Amino acid sequence: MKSIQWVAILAWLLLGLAPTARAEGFGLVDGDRVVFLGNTLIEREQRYGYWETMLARRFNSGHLIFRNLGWSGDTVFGDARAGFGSTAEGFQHLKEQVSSVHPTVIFIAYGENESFEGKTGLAHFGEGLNVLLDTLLPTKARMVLLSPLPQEDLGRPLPVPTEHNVNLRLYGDALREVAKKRGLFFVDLYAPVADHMREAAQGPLTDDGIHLTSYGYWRTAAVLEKALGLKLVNSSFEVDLGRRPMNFTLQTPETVLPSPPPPVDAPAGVSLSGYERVIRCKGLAAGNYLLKIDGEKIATGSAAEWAQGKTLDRRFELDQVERLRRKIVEKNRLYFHRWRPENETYLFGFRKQEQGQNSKEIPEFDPLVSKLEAEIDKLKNPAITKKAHKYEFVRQQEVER
Amino acid sequence: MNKASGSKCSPLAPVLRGEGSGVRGIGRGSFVPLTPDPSPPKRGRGEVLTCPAPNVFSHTYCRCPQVILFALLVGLATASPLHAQRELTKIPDPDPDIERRSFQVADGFEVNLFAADPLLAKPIQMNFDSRGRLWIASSEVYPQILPGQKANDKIIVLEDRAGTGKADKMTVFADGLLIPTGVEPGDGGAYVANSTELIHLADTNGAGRADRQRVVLSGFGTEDTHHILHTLRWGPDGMLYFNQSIYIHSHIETPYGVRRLGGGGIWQFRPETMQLEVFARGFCNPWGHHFDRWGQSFATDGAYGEGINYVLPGASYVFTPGAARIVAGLNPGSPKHCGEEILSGRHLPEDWRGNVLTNDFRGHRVCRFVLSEDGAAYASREKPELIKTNHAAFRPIDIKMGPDGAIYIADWYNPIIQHGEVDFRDPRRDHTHGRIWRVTAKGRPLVPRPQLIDATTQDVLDALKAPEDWTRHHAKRVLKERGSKVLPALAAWVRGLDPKDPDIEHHQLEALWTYQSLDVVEPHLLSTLLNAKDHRVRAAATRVIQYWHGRLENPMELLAARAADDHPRVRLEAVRALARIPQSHAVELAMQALDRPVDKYLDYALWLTARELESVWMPALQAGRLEFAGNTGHLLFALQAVGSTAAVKPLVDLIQSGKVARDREESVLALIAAMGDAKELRMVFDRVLAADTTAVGTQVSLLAALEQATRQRGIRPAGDLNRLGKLLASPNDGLRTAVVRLAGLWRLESLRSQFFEYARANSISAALRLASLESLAVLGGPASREAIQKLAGADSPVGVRMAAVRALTALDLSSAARLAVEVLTVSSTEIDPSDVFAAFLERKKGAETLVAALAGRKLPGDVAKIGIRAVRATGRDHPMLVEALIKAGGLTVGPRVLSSPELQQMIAEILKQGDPSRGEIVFRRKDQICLKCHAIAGAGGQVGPDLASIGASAPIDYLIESILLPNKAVKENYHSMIVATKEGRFLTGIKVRETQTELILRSADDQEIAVPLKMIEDRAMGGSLMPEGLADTLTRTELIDLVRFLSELGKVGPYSVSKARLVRRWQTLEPTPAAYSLLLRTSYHSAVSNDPALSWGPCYSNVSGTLPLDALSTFQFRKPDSKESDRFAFVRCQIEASSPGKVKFLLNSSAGLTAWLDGKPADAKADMEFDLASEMHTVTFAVNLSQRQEGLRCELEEVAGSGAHARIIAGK
Repeated sequence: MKSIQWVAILAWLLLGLAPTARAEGFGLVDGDRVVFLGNTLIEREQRYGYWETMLARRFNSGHLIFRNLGWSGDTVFGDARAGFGSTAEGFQHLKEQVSSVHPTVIFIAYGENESFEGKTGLAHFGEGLNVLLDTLLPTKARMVLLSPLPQEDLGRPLPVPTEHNVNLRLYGDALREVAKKRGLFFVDLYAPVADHMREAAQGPLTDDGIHLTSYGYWRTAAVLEKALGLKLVNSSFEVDLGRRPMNFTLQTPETVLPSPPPPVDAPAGVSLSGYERVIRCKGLAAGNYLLKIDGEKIATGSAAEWAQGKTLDRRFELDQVERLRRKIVEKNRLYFHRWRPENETYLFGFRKQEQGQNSKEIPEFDPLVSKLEAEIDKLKNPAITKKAHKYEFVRQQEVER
Repeated sequence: MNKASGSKCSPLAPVLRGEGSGVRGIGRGSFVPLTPDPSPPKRGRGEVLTCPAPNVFSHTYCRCPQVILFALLVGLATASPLHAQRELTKIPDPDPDIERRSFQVADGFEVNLFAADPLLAKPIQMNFDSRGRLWIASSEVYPQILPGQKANDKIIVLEDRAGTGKADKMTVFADGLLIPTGVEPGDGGAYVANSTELIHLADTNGAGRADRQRVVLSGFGTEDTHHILHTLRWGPDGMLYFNQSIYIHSHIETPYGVRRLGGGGIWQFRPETMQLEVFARGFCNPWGHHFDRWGQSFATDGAYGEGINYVLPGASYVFTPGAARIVAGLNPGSPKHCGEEILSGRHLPEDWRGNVLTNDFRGHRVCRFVLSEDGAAYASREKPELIKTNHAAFRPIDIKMGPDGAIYIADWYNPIIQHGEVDFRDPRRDHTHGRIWRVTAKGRPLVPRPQLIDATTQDVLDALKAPEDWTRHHAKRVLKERGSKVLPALAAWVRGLDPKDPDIEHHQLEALWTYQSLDVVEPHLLSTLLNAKDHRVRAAATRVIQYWHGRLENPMELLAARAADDHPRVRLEAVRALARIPQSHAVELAMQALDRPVDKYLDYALWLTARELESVWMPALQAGRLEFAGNTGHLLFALQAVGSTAAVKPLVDLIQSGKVARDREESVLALIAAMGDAKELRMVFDRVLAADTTAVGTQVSLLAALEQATRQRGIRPAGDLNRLGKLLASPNDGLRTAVVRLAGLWRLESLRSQFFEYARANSISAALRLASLESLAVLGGPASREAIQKLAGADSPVGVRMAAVRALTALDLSSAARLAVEVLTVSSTEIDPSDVFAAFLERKKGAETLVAALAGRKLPGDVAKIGIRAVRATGRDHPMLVEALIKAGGLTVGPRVLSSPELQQMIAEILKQGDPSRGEIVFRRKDQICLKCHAIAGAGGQVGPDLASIGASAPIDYLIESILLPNKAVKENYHSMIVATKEGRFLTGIKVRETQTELILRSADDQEIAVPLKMIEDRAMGGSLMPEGLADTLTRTELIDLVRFLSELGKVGPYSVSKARLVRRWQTLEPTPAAYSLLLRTSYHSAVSNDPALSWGPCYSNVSGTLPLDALSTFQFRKPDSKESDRFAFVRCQIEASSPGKVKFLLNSSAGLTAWLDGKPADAKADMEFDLASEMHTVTFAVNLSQRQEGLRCELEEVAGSGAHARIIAGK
């Protein structure tokens, strides 16, 4: 192989802008304790972690704590948290669950379940929402209201979502109004997710019309990112190689980790637009070139194609963010055992005289959670690896030889 | 003595009159008039009646001191958390062969080991896939994840590739799971219950291992890890069924809205549409559910003992929160069962096909039940076990038939069961073993394993004709998974069926289910089957309309015809299907089923449908758009079923237009009283006042309904309430008591003088006197107080003083306490003082006031003991009062606490010297009144747990501790609940159920108390209702024998309850003065009359099923002109026939017996035959104790060819 050894420190010309920690009002700072509160949309997020990973990597300086308090089937009234008691007790539990975390930021996602009550239930929902927000006021947390997602039309025999979507929009609008009146941050997930759902090329985001798949969470992490006013990180770059094909080593350029790679259940052939890294490479002599990074074959193209820009499969350098996401998921799982332990009836409930002695185990999850959070704090910062990657352009005929 | 003198003869010279022509003595066929010995009771005004027979057993009338032990063995089905299974020092050798050799297997069967550890550990649920591989959900993390532990539970797949009956390949399909409690293969992988989620695990690359995980549903509760989502099973309809148990609260989001289920139940789910519904509600821990050949559902319950439950769609079962009405199981008194499989196939002997197998994992048994059709529903009869053993670790929890026609049993293998009672971290908990046993019929060929996966569609369709349920089930699964491309072949297959094939209708039904599985509507086939000859096929087809009605042209027409079908089950299915159609006409059609005989299941179905559709039809009725075709009976049923306020006005209209049949008037009026406003209550009140004297019973119950209306809702009839007083002219004490109570509640000053008069009257019932005193107290004022205080003073008889003291507690607690101590000081226990203590204990400050009054006073020891027991029956602590009573009574009581060596010593003695037969006598002794609260096999009190299998499940140390320290560990659902009412009273009992409006408690004396929710100020959990100190009166030997007896219950041996249908719960006629008087005045035959003067008390057969004669209350009659006397007892039992026909009643001997069926003489012989109508029947025996020594054993048997179904009534 005759590739030319030419190592250069390159000046990066980033086509996009590096993110700022605070954009258009939303931001997280060192020491923030973020609660996710809501229904299945929130509850299932913890098992994939894409939303939380997005926030962790975007706000990567300092110590942040995320607590997922989602509960399937929940409403602003605390229906799903009632346990053996009444809805009023469920609401009381909701209040205690949130306040025990001492949150500084609360993401609130309700309305999907309530929306089945249609127009007639709207006023009741509004009242419930206001009571909830009033109840959470003493936490002094910054609150972010999330609209419900649209229902996706996955064809028959699943239901036609048209009618339900009218209601979902109504409830989303009610949330927007309340947010506006109270000066809270509002995230409209409905419109941008509906746009995604309309684009067949992106593949379905749900498997039942209403609940995101892991791919759905991966996709909507960017929706949420954008809706929070965070400009997407564009890590495409341009390099002028001058006279000859060459090798070069470069340091990961970002101050923010890239998005995690799409999950395995991402439908084949979907557009990854917005997530890719494009490299434009000027100065290559005519011919076909293979780009290898760290010795791995990445892409081939003519000099003209390279000059115009080629999309790189970024999987080779996504280890860190994927590790971050897995830690987040693991942390969420441990925290779930902490705040929603199994056998509550015996540990804390009316049969605690039988197994209450074991309830001492439950706080033992706290140090385990904290340990993972310390790792998460490190992993979310791209600076920690400082790994330089070796880029290599190899003329095609040389490869064939 | 003139035999014709009959009832006119003097009480001193009675004769016995027989039916019809003459008079006869009992058991001797001669005309011998008998005179009681020593003398008949004198009945005079003002005399306190005493018990004529020196019989300590006649406890309901004559309470002897020991009898008033509130002896409740409530704690007896639990283990103490720390010390449970302490005697379990020998963990059994885990060698599977040792376990196998311990099995006692039913004749004709043998057991082999299919798989064992280390291939698998802790199997929980298993299901076969269509290839014949066995999928197993297993958990080593159960019962609770430890901090730092990795949740690594597994789904494994076992294969028997060589067909040797042993697993030869194991694949871990998935790991990393958290307590997966169910697995059902399908849709390219398997559905798995994974704590809060139902997930689908798929193997997309054929590597045999799950590589994709999808959350299908989430939001299942996990409040108890043996209650979480379980029992996954495909139905014949292509829907996935799964269960949850009593502590679980699930909130599941679906594209159709949130589905919530708090408590137990069975879910029904169609994955491709995401439609999720609750199929049945309730149960305690329903770990078994299967469908029979005709698609009917049967469930078992691992924590509630009613054997097999017939599950009708939408019904509620025991423990359903808020249920106004529930469906009972088919085998009351049967122990608890886990897993369930209905047998089929050529490998098994014919008499086993269609049987239900399920597991008593506590008692180490695999149990067998035989189902038969019984009207709209089924009857179930328990037969001897398939497997039983005393091996302490054999824990059969799931059972399935396999592709080879053999029976497979999942053995969780654990010496420790349960995780409530035994510490999560108890080191003896087994986390590593597990077995799959395979049971085959000896000498019968196995079924060739069906090859369905690679078969042609034609071959798979032909498999729908297989005799094995396994094969047909999986053929449908395979067709479903092949999808709509099989439709043309399916249609052709149906067309090609041989019309002469005797099973053609069943083949067609399988095809219909295949269409349903594919969710493709096929109206033509449906219509054919709706008109099938076989009612079971018509019923199954009718159920399909439930799911297809929105896509059928004429669902109403189809269901209308089925609601009038010849078979009650078809009618029942139609009635339930109509509940799914939200049109007011649907309820009209459903009510047509009332025009045919209605058994209790059909009645339930109609009731449920009327309620479920209320929001649809009630507005139509109110708007005049619904008329039930002018059929008042139909309208009335629907209105009574909903029982809502909306129903009141139409009901009032019906009553006023005279359209309500006389025999239903009372229930309609009671409903109006319960729901109506003041004006409507006035109508009820008017009717009570106008009723003629023959309707005293109706008057009393309607007055009670009015009382409830005032107490619960604060509503009184409009108009002049003082008219109530006119009813006091009645000579009936019951009616007068009801009037006085109500008059007090209504504060009718006009009747005050009447209350005075009753309170002071000499000859008056205790109840009327008490009511009068209490009403006086309610009216209050110095005059009342003075009168009550006077009656509570030393001049009155003790009984009157006690009643007055009780009444006075409402008016002046400290004066009441002072007078109470006075009367208690002089009282013996001849008149039970419990109620006096209770009157103080149910009032705020009552206990404290009594403590103050007791200072420096002495009470008789027995009275003080009763006081302590009354305190303990409240479930609350009143240490000051207990101390005061101990002091006053000069007692040395306190719980007997055994040190660990003492306990070990006692266990050793129990095992070595304990005599279970003597222990049974102790258990049955009335002064222990164990049976007052505990049943064995359903016979006995219902306050505490049934003890039929207690010995098989409970270790000896905890039996001892449960008797000595009942509060140490209390069985689930047996904690007492203490309710503080807004009236300032405390009520204590076991919660039975809670509806929208009231809480129902079972009190320590086995009475149900309904407390209106509105009246409840606060509620708290109490301890066991079983008082401590129960064993104080036992000698050490007696205690040792008693525990030994309990420890033998349910174990293989003489103390295991027989499968024969034996009468275990009897009633014996109490020899009250009234009974003597009646029998002497008229004849023995009066014992079978329903004369209210007769009082029947409970008595029970022993575990072996024989009623010992010494359990009976006896009458002594002097022989004429002789100093000798004859001893007699009268005993009766009840049988309910659900399908009419002949049954046999087998007696061990007829010596000394005279028999009646429903009050008519019947020939007492060893082999009696009764022709029963579908209703309740009473069999009564007179037992001449001079002629009979052996106990009475009666068995209900079938008569060959008879369609009769009857069951023996158990209970308290």
